[in-house]
Amino acid sequence: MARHIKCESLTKRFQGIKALDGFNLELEVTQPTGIVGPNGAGKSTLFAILCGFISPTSGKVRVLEHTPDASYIKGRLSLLPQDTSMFKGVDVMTQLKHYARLQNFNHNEAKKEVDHVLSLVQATGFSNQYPETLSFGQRKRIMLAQSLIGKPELILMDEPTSGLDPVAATEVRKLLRDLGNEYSVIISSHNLSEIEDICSDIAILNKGKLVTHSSLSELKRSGQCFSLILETPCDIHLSELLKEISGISKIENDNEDMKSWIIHYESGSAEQLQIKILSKLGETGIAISELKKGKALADEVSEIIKSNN
Amino acid sequence: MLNLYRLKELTLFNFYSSLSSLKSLAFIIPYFLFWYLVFDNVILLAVEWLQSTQGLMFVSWITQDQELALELFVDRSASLSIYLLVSITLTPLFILIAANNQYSSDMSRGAFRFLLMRATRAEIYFSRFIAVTLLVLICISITSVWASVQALLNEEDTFEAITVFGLQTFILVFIYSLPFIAFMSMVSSFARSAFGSLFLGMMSYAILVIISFWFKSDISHAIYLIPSGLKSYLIDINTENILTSISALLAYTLFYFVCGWHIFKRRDI
Repeated sequence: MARHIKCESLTKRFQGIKALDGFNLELEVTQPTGIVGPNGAGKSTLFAILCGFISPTSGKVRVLEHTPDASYIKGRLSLLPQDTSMFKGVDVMTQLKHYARLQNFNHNEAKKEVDHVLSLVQATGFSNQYPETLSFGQRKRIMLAQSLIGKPELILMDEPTSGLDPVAATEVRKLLRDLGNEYSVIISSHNLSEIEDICSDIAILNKGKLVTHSSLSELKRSGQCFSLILETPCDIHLSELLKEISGISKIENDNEDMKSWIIHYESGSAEQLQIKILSKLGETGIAISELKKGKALADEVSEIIKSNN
Repeated sequence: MLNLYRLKELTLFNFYSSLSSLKSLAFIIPYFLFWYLVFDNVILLAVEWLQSTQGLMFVSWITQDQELALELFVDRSASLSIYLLVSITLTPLFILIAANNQYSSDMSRGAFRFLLMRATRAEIYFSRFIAVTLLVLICISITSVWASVQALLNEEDTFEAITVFGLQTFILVFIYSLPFIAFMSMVSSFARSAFGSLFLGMMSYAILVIISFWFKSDISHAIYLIPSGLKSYLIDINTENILTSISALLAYTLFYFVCGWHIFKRRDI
């Protein structure tokens, strides 16, 4: 498998502000990868550099073993941008066919390919419309369709569900999950449950630097804890209730709502401990909504970023 | 390196989509309307007057060259001479409108992002320039043929003489338009909108015109700050002068085009 992305000491300054600061990353996208981080972490800047939209102030970047403006990678890398307009006054079919033609499809093949990608994103009905007449969600589907033309080796998706209503976002998320099995994708998103849902690998960025890059399961395993969500807020701190159970090192009230708790434990049998906790809570009549091993990705990421600040 | 297949695809797409776009119609409609009015109403009266003693004296006074006045309006087709003079005078205005939005709005709105995933910046930059040049070439061809037909219908010159002069006129007008297209490529590379590009193009051209006239008396070469300084050579009867001015126009084109490319390849998309 070719090394897909390599960034070495990548720095990008915008009027003195460092969006990327000596950023290093080596990524072989064998499974869907998420790029997360707070606002201003440098996610969109990284995508813009990888696609050749902007040049880095210093450092080296290689995409599919070439520089971003290399003729060779054109058509092999694609992007679903966050908020970009398509050409005005040119219908969707003509635009997408033009993109397909640029990717070496002949006239008939281009038409077939466009029909295929439009059907993948369930947008065949929009082919004769002008992009400016479509809703944001419909345009997002068309932009997703263009990113699939010619089955590129790598697809970068910048905030794929941002701006969509919940129904449309769920549909697109389902679509991305399906596409993740067939295409190599890197998704940048603020929505961590989306990343958790779709991606297997994760890279966390903060202040223009890579904080960590690992598989999602590894990241969640790294903290020896349970996430507990109660159906109703608990009147007393859980550490009082569970103090008799050995092996528990600390109990934290997550979000300070007395409903969400993080139970840290010492190394040992997590399964045994889980049973003990369930029994104890059952005895005291506390209804449990969810008890799972590890923290939610959002908690894990927020903790990593906090410790990095 | 340019991929010729992609360059062709981009050029054709730009050309066909520009035919129906507002930015091109803002050039095409006024351009043909203007020439319709000229050919339909003005040209016959102008030919009659310019071939009179009074008209020839006037042109001799303007050009400071009686021989040139006779060559243009008596020895050659007067209709085509008028077409050549008017074209050369108004080319900067028409071309600034035709070529004002080669890159600016699509770059600002982000539409170029979809192209840049499939083509290099060089291919995008060249294709836009070629597409506008193609549009201008077609428009000038049509008006040149139209002027030649007018000359055939209304004047007594031979078909061969009118055809040869018509072709020469077409080539001169087209080559004269090239540096202005390249000038607008340069301006459009750093402007943020179509209107901004048009405004910036007209303003910077007007400033260059003013500077060249202002310093003309002190520095004679100041008139060559802009391609318009070569106008008088294009209508000259001396072939050597015409060829020199054609070479200079191509040099202006190359200069503006290369400057525009350096801006375009560094600009954030």
